[in-house]
Amino acid sequence: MTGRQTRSTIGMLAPATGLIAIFVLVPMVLTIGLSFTQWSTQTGFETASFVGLANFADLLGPTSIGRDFRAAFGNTAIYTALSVALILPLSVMLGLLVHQTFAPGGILLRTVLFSTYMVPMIAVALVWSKLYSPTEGPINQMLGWVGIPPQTWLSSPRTALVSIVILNVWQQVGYFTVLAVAGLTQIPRSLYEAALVDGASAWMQFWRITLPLLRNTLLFSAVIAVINAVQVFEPVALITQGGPVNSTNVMTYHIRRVGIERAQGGLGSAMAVTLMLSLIVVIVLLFTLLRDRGEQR
Amino acid sequence: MRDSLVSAAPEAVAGDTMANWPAGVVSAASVGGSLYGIPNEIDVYALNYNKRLFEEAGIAEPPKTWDEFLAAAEKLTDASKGQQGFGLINSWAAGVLHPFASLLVSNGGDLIVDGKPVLDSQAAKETFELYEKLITSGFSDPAMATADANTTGPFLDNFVSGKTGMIIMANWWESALKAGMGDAFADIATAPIPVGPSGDTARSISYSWMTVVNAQAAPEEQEAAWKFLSWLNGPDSGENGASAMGDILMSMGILPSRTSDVATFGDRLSSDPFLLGYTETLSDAKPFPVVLGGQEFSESLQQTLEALQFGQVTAADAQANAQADATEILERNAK
Repeated sequence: MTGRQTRSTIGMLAPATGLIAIFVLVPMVLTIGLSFTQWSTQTGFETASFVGLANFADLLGPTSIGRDFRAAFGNTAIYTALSVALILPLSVMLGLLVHQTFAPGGILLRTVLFSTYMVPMIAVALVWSKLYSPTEGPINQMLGWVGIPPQTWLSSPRTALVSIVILNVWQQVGYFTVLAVAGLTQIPRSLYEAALVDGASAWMQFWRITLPLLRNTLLFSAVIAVINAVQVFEPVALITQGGPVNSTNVMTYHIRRVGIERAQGGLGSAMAVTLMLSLIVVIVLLFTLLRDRGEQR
Repeated sequence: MRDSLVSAAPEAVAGDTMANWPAGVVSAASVGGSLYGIPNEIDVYALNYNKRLFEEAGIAEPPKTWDEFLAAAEKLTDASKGQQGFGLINSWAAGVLHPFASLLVSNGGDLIVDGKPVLDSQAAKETFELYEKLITSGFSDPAMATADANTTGPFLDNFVSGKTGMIIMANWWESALKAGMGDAFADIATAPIPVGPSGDTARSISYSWMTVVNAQAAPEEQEAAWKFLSWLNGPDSGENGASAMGDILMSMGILPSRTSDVATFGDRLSSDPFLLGYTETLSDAKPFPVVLGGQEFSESLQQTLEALQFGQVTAADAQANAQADATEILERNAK
């Protein structure tokens, strides 16, 4: 490449990469740097004092800092695992339902399913907090019609986190259904025709053709679902504020509480860095897991 | 203050404030003997109760002691109607902490004295045990106690819809009750916090707000700001010797804290039956402690009290945890 070409390449890439650098890379580097300091979020960076790994030691330590952090980490892990475990199978099931051509209404169903994804999470959270209301909430009233006693939903530490997962699944499943449908359309019809000739049942077709060929779609869906789930913030901030008894205190909410409300910027940064590292580990694990299976076949 | 964000008041302003505000309010606006702002709004806590439910349960008077309080809670509890005697609050730090702290000070106790937590006192022990008793006897149902981020939610809904007999809340929620209850608001009355076995008189915690001046601003800007604030909160800016700030607060149904404002608006304050339970305890109120790490302290105690509400810990464990965590948090933040 000549010098002129290089310059023009750099020139053309600069607007996009420059923006990424300013709004993504610089804050990341800053957060990593701040995680080794003690710093009040209410003051300038010049007041930050280097404390080495003390913040990270606190996160693993026996005090309330470590206890609350680990509880929030655990809550996020449970929330993420449950969300992904529910969303992925549901999206494939609903995807098959939408994709099939035996019965009409597939496109209508797809539209209905996707519509929940278009509602802002703030609206979803506020509406669901009323739906979940323990006494006069519509969900408990409807359960009453079929003889199921009222559930505590958001009002008990045992059920609050699961209630937020349900709300999340409801909102997100349409989006992942569309992804699944996109994956299903990629599978050549000829494979199913060949399988039919060989006398494979629909059940066998699903396990031997559909699911293996959806692998890449599912990998993509899983990665996006994990990232979305780890980012959960609005329903917690708007409805439960991490309660009751911190049962819905997830990482993003806890980081904001520590880093912004308590102004402990260094500690909050250390939590953010730990969350980022954990997320990287999970994503890498997902890739290796789903890729290895492919090579074994 | 720790981050040098707000400036200390000049001597003249500090002197004037000390002369014209109750000592408790001045102390809440001061750190280490220096005043950091001019106080305005003050909030205290009182027992709110539903007169209709009291009548149905055959209770003539609002409870004055914890024994009477527990007896009333028992009579008001009716599981078949989904009705609880006393409404606890959870998932909202102030909603959990302030009623607890008000019962604690009404029992002669304190949260923090001289920067050190004193939750290991006999008075605190009795307060934790009161909570345990409310829960184990079924007089309070934690599932009816949840708040959401708008400081509304089931705890408010249940009181508004007459499913909660008594609750302890601050004066500012009057407007929320009026909006939620309409004509039924007439059923609501207030009374001072019941006095515990170790207490001498009905008390509440109070928290007050103040206007402060930015320590980073230029000296002449700071001077101008203090001058304006002195006028705004002084006796010449409003009508009949009230301050303009007092006028503003009263127009929103909020209690002013300046002594001369309380006197000027005395008739209006005493003619509001809802506010009566609050103004009665104003002079005996103890300011909610202001310490470094206060937010962390509050959230930690909130968590312990919620664990107690949901039966995850006993009163004894809750007390031990609360004192241990508070000690660690305040020591760390004082460094």
